[in-house]
Amino acid sequence: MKKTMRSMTFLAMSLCVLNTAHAYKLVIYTDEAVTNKSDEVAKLMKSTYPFSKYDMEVEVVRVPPTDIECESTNGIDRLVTCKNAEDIQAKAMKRGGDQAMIVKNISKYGGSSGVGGGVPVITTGTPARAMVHEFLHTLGLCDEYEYAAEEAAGYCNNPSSKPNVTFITPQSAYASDAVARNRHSGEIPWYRDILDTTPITSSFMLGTGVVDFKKPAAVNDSKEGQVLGEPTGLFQGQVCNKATPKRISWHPGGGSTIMDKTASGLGAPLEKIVDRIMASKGAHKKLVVEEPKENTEKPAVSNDKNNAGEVVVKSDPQPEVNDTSRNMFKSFFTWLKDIFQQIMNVMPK
Amino acid sequence: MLKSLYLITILAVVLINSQTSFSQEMKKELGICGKTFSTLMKISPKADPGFNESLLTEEEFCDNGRYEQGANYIISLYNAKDQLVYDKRIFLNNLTFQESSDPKTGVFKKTKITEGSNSRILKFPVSSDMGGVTSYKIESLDAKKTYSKKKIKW
Repeated sequence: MKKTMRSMTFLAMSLCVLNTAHAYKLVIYTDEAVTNKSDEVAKLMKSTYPFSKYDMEVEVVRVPPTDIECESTNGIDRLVTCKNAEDIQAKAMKRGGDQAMIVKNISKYGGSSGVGGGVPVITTGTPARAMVHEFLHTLGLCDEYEYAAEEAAGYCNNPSSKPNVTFITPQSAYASDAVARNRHSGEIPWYRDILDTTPITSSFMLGTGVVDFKKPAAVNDSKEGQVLGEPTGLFQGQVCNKATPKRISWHPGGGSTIMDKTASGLGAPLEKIVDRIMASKGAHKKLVVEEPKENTEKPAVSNDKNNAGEVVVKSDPQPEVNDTSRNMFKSFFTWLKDIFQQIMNVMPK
Repeated sequence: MLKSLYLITILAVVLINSQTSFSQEMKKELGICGKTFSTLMKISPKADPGFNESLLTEEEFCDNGRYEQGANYIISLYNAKDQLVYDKRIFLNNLTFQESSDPKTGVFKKTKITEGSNSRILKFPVSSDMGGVTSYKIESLDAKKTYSKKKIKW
């Protein structure tokens, strides 16, 4: 049996190596003499769920400090930006990268990033987890902490909903949860994640609840999502509280996430959202080969563990995948048809 | 049993690596495949969006990400005969967030949000039946505007 398992593992590994679907490649450029922070970032990017379920390749490239022109901007200390981010991106592109990152060897500054693009940057004086926060900005996610009045004035004037933030001015009261759902479902980007059993109103007021920013979401460095984590709902946030006029923001989770503090995890609701974004970018999910368990262990509880030793492809159902089996048969018959056509062509000769 | 599994492995390897129409069809089902066309797309408030640097390599790229979540741009690729050969919906924002955090608590202390230029790496497959790609067109879904077609500078 063990031999069979080994063979299956070998088969899966061979297929993994030969798989043509591309790994999502991050290229980290750094001017560190010893790449401690960059290695920490690389490890973190690969181990943080949901990135851990994808085929993520991370390459650390050491360059001279002159190649990374990063400095504080607009006279504001602790904020850093890099002038030659485009050159860095072009270099990363030539290495087959999908996303460039910069770890700048400065101890006194913070980090910076471009939302939905650009190059996420952190300094060696910044916690490595800040890079996950900045990278999530490049995927389109917005901050969840409260902006100072001057930033709120610019950002919150005409805010549009983002994957993890929406802006809804609630009515004074709702007759029922169904009424609130009918009224606002189209304004909630994560509405599909809210179960029927999770209300989006409480005491006839909009909101599953208010975000408890003192409750950090657990850091998840496994390959599985937090299935038993908090349910996705509609929680009132604070990002635009200081805007004039005040704009009410709403988030999918009820706790502090990494978009609020770098020490927090993503939390179950954000994990689902980020997972979908990564899948939509064409990142390839890993083939998970579970190690055979010894019989001395107690019977496993979950179905996954009962199937230990089998090749398990963890993937969420996606609409375009539904026809795969049918299409593979179609492909097979196309191939057979080609062979018969070739035989028929040869026959008269 | 073991021999059969090894035989299956070898056959699978041969099949996946082969250039038969079956394997090609299979690859197409997994995503549109071809040579890798990488480019750097740039947006700027002062100029039309465009490709800054472009590169075509022989490495095979299967695109499973033609429809990015929250896409706000549609990129269309054209061949020398001016035929539309590929399109892709991508997300690229023009906001830049600069932030600093307390290294001990992880609490964000300062933030600056600016609106301006931004860029990102894009990848496209260029299969043999496309007849190559020579030009591109960008459509902004936010601005509801289609920018004029441009030649790809290799």
